[in-house]
Amino acid sequence: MSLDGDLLSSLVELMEEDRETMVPTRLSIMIYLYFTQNVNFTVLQKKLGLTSGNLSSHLRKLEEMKLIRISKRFVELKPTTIVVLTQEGAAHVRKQMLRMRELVSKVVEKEDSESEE
Amino acid sequence: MSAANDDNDEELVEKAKQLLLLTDLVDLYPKVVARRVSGLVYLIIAGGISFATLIYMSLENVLGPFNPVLVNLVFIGISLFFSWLVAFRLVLPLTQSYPKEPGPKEQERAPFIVWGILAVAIVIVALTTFSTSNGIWFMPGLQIIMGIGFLSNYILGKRDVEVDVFTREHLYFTFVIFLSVLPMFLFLEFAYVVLIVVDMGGIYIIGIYMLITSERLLLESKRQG
Repeated sequence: MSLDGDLLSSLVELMEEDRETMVPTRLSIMIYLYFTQNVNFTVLQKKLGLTSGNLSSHLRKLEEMKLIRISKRFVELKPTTIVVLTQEGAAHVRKQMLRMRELVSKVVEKEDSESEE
Repeated sequence: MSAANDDNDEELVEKAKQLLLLTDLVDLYPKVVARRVSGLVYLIIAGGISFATLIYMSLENVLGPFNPVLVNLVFIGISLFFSWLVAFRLVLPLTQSYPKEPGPKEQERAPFIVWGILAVAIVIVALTTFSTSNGIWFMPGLQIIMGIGFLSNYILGKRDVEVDVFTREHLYFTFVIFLSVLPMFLFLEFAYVVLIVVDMGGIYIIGIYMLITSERLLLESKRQG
């Protein structure tokens, strides 16, 4: 199988394992939150270039899965929505990324050894 | 056609390597946060002790000299309580969002047991030196206990893979503490000055160093990506 075939099948395998969060937008939200712990809704919307409706629906799904927590509070007298990564969410991102590393590194190693030959 | 395929493969390998780099960053980031928080904890501990020193000196100026045994014990007690309250109740929970690999219970308990024994040793040294009018020996004794404490932090940290990022500083600090014992014995009346400069200065330096170097850990990820 060619490299793109190997890589694709590895990623498909991973997506099959976790259909709910292995969606590019949800994965981006989770990884962004992993490094920031919490984020303002408007900031997240600008960073990911999403419409508010689209972002809301992804956040609602992630909240249902208890991977994030959404709270509303007043910041400088304006109502602000804050998205916070839960401990389960952080564990989930880490698990997914380590699994992804395992699969992708196998493909890269295979390609490196083939190119050396 | 083959050249186009090769280009495509190279591009894919490049993208895969970038993905690997991201996974490494995700893997290492909790350590970065933990190191940053540890730096903060050290700064808070040093701040707590500085605050207690300031209160003690102000009270002594107003009320006159106190009983030295009580002063030393209360001083250490207040410093540790303040540090514990702020550092462990307010700052350490910041790291709890990240998953932690569960380690053996003995390994987790070891630092508390060692520092518990050392705290008892501090009390015994304080009681024995001050009650026999040898209070001047308390400071070098305290310094040796501190040296043993930081050496134990180094050894215990080395044994635990999850906290190996904290250990090197403790070894350097241990060397400095043990080296400072010599001038303390030579100039006993200035021992407390040496203790404050070395220990407080050292804790402040470790804290600041840990804070500013925490993100250096992320550079390690380049080895795999």
